[in-house]
Amino acid sequence: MNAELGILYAVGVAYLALLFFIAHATEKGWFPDALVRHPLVYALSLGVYATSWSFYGSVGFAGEQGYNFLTIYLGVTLAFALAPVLLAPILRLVRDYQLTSLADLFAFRYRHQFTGVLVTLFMLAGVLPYIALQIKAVTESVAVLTQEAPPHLLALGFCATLSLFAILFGARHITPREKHEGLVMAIAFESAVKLIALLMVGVFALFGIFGGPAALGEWLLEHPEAIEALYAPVREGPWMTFMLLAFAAAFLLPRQFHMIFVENMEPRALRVAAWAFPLFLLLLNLPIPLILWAGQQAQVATVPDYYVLGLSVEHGYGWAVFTFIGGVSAASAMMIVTTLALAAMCLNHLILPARYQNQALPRRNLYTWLLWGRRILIVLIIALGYVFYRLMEFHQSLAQIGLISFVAVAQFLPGLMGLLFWPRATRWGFIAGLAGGITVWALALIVPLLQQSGLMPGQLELQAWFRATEQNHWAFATFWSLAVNAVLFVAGSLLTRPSPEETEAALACRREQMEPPRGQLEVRSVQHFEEQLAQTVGPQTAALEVSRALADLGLKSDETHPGELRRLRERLERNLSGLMGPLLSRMIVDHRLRVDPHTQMALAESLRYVEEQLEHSNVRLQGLAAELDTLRRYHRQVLHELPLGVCSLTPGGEIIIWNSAMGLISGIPSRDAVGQELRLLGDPWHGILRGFLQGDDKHLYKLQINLQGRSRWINLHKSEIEAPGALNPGAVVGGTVILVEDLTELHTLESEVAHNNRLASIGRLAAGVAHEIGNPLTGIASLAQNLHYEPDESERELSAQQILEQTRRINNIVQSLITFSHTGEVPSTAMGAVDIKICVDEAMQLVQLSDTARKHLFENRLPPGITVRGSHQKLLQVFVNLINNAMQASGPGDRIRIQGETAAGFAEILVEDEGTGIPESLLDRVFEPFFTTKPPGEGTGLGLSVVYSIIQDHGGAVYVDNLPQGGACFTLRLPLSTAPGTTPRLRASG
Amino acid sequence: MDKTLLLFLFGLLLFASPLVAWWASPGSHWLLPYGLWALLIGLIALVTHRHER
Repeated sequence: MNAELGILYAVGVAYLALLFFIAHATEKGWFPDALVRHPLVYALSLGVYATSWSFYGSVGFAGEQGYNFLTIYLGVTLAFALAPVLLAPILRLVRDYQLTSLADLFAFRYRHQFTGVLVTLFMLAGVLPYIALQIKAVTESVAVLTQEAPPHLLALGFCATLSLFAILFGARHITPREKHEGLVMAIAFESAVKLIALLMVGVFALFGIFGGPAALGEWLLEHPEAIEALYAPVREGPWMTFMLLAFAAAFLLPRQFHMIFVENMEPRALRVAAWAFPLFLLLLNLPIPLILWAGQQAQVATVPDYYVLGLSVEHGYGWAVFTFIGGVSAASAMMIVTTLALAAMCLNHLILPARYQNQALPRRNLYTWLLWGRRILIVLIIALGYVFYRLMEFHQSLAQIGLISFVAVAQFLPGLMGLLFWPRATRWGFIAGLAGGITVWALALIVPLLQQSGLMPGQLELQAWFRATEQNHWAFATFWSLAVNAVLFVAGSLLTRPSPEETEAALACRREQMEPPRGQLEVRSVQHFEEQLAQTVGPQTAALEVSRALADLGLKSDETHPGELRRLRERLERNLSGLMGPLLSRMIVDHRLRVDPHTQMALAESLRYVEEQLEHSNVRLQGLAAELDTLRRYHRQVLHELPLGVCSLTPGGEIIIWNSAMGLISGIPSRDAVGQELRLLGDPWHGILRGFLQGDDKHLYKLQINLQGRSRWINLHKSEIEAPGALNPGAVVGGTVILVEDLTELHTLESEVAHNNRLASIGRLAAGVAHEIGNPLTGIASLAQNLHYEPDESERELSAQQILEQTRRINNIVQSLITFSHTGEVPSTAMGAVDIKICVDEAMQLVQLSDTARKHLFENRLPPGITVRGSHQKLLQVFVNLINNAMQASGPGDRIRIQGETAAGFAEILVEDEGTGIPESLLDRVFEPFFTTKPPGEGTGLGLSVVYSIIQDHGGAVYVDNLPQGGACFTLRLPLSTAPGTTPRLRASG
Repeated sequence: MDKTLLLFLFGLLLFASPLVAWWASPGSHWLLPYGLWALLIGLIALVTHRHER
């Protein structure tokens, strides 16, 4: 190695070290996140597409094929124009199912071990010429600079150095599947370097060789054949073929697939890349005609493939070295990213399946095993590229070698179209099509290469059989390989039936999957998950994977909810797919985390699954289906927003619906309740709802419950649901819907109203009270005065007794007032037997304190001994209100009569008056709050509504009707204290 | 979606149809293909930007 070569090698290694530093700095967080995750950085990283073929070979390609060289980039532009319909769905699949390569993608869709193996082997074979091309470009560029034939050791040294850097870039971490932000940043930097280098050569060609745009214009006028040489091949050459090949290569080449989909950190960045990446390619290609013409004008002593370098040498050695760096940059980026992508494919589809024996993988430390596997594969793939480079004697230009790989990756187009747009496609169709395409590709392109290199004897002239000329060589190879591929793919798919796994995968690819998965998980806890997985991947890996999946889903390690465990299983499968490919991951999960196919998935989970699928489905519902979906969303929203707690349960006690109001009332969010069994809710709700479900009552009113030390009042209503149709055959549907009304605020308001009503009554009674108390006081005063003059002992004794009698009378009045005006809730435990006759007597006594009462006659005809269970104070208020109401409707001298009897465990009490009665049209409204027939300001309209509320609280009923002879009759039905079924009402605590 | 497909068809019209023979006819300016390419990129950016909003 001479000194100049040594310098170039050192510069190349230093540049790679700089790239590595950028990657390292990115991973260490030394660059701001806004820069690292900027969409333009992602778009620039896609510039890995432009390899040394683009950097050096485009000029030679333009020399041979004129503007046909642009097709390699225009095809990419068209592919990116389709980003929302072509690239975005692939990106979604790759992200959702953690796929790491094209082989993973195809193995996921066309579920068969052989699919992954075939794709991997073919990709390896198809890309080897491309890797060899990079080695060739770098060594030949060194030859251009040193003017000497490069030693073979140089190519070997370049490969060894790149192997090291590829490992450093992509296989340094213990978890090989994580995204490489550093790699993306380094490749973006590398793209910027090669763009700047090429633009600088273009600027030099324009100003250094031609002397500026005006001089170039004159030169072109003098040499019109220069422009015609660019346009003529477009009219005659394989323009369309190259466009198609570039369209496929844009996202199917391993390095492109890796950078576009696997390393994507933000899906929205793809939208920016859709225009920014083609713009990068346009700028990169803008100087190519200039460099070609400048090379011809300056008669640079190299082949056109290396005019870029030859012109730089003309400008100065320093410039040439910088341009050389641009070339190294292009070649190394391609080789690093390609080997990383191929290593992942080989590991997932060749090595791991072979190592997966007895349903177990290396258990000691799977991560380390995978990491070293990847490292060894990187070295092996670059070594294979080197062997290919050494064995082949390339007589073709750089572009022609690259096109061999382009035709190879185009063979994946039919399979990919099937994956995205044809659910009927089968794995056997895919395998047959790909095998057919590979065969034609090999016969048309590889065999001639081997024959030219002397590695294969004979002369196979496939083209001659089809009368193809040299001119349409690429069109011939592309057309026939793709035609055979597509025909076999379609025929094979139509002649075979997709397996259930394929159908499931096809629907997942189209986001059409609606049918919920069958069966219930056999594992019932997170701990059990770990134990099961450990048997295949080892305890350390199992623990890490389970905790990672839990963190991804935001679940806790004590999770036991069947639906959440099902999600955990899905997440584990996806995460393991990122580690070892979709097939092996599915096999491990199916084997270790079994689902019992004979059981049904919980209905709530089925509903949730279908709803999620509808939300994210790719299929746009149309016509009636769209209308039904809108209606479904509307109904769901109504249920969710209803200001009434709604809870529906299956006959087995599984909660299906738990709306937001229910969440507010119960304090249990919908997320925690839906899918749970009722018994797992805990008390008080489990007790309340189960008790209500088991009872005969369809309604339960004013149920007092204790939640976190606070009393709440609720109404419960229930109704049976008829089965609307099964989501999955045999599923149990139907059940019960329960409505829960929170009455706490209303109850508080009613209590306040009742209290105010009592105070108002006391106010009205005040004058009467003064009179009633004043009379005995006068009597007491007279008796006390006379007492001093009373000589007779017996007379004094009599006066003292009369004083005591008057005092008792006052005391009775005061006690009645105190009882009546008592505030606060009467707990159900304070309720007891109330003698109705005594209660009515007391009410009459109170009412008679008012002036107006003196105009009426009161009759208490109740038989003694009727006792009901209730609150004496509240029932006292009932009778005060009813008597007051009767007095207001009656004229002077009218009777107010209270009578009653007992029947069937109830006391029936009638309060009758001889007043005007109630108009028929108002009979239904008299118990409404604030309803009154009096003029404004004369009545609150609360008296009868308070009566209604209190009687309801006592489990009774109140009716009103008019009497035939005139007047109104209020009938109260109250449960007797001794009657069965009058136990205190359901009372819960919590 | 519809705009994307229209854009793709426009790209096909520019670069994969007999229109190619028109712009590649003798006498065309050497920058013409780049101009058409830039036009397509501009339209992609426009459609993408509107979609983003």
